[in-house]
Amino acid sequence: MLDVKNKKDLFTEVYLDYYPLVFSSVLTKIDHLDDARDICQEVFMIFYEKMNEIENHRPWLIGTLRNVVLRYYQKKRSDIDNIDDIEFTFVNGEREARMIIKEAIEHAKCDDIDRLMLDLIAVHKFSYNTVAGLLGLTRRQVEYRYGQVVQRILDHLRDKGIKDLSGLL
Amino acid sequence: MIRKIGLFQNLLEKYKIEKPVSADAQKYIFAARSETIKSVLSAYGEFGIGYKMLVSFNILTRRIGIRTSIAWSRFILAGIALTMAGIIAAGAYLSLKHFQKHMDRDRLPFIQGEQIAGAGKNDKPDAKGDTFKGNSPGNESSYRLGVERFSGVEEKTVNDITDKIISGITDLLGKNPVIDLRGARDKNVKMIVMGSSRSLAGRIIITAKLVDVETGRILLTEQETVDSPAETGPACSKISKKIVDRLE
Repeated sequence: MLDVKNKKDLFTEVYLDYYPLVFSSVLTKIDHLDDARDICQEVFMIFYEKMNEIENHRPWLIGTLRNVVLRYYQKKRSDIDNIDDIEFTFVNGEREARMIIKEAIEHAKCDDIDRLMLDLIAVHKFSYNTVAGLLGLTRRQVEYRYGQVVQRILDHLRDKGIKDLSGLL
Repeated sequence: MIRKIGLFQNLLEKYKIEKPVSADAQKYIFAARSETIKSVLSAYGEFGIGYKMLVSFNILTRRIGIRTSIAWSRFILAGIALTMAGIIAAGAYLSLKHFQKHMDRDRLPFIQGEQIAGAGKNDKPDAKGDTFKGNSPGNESSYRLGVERFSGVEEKTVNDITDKIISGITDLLGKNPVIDLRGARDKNVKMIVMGSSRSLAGRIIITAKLVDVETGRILLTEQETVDSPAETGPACSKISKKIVDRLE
């Protein structure tokens, strides 16, 4: 159990690291800046209340934001019960390839910062400079670490039998 | 590596794993980050001015590429605050000392207006016919007089002559009229007596000058020649008298 000061400090550190990711994820789902900001605020308020019970911050935040966004949609349209249906748009083996890539990303040996970099740069297209400023790293560090992460993902894909990436493209 | 990163990005694009956020939205996120934490922590009454500074400091250090924990930020910020407090305290102390020094200087011995015959006549013309621009009559600082060590080869004679000049002026002007500038820390005087003692063909030539410090003008030059060190007393008395006369 964290005391108030430590809890606040830990919250602030997690918040400063994950806020851009949470916001970006929400924004890609609802495409409205002010609403995304409100949803982010709600996610982090729930996070602050439940911090003592949370061990792995990233999956918890992603899971919670999905629920909060779903509630947001349900308020607007009562017939929505799933907001991530992109998998079903892929057919004829492409869905499988997508699953493999996502699995490779999930299983690449990344610490929290590497994973954040991957999410922000690869998924949300943040620039190296922006990510450096958000995470407290230099641009060179970000560039180097991101390159290493990509290499590990590609190694993982190779281990899965995908020798040539151009085959997937 | 750049090629591999490019291939990887193409994969993410093709399988719609990437979800780009526009540059404007990124800027918005950057700005909203500071505001939202305030809203969240304020809702729990945990966001005071001190913590706001701490968070701002941490964000600032991140922006310049330094990743620190909040605990470290607090430590660094406390260090900066202490250093600044130290600098301010030192500045205040030095200012106070400076002020005190000025106050003390005003309390240092002066040639009192009343002690000088003809005080208030300090505006009379000097040798060149110019008016001596001292302060108003009776303002003691007009007469602040220091005596520098006389120059010369023989240490004993030089010190002896300097002592005699000081004592000569003192005798004429009363109690504590001059500042002995030998080794004195406070050399802020209006006028200085300086001079030299030279030995020439067995005789001693004593030269004294009264200098206005502000203008650098020599107000008086006096010279006495004696045959032996024993005769320097009367010579110094004569010079002292001339100096005092000039002051009047």
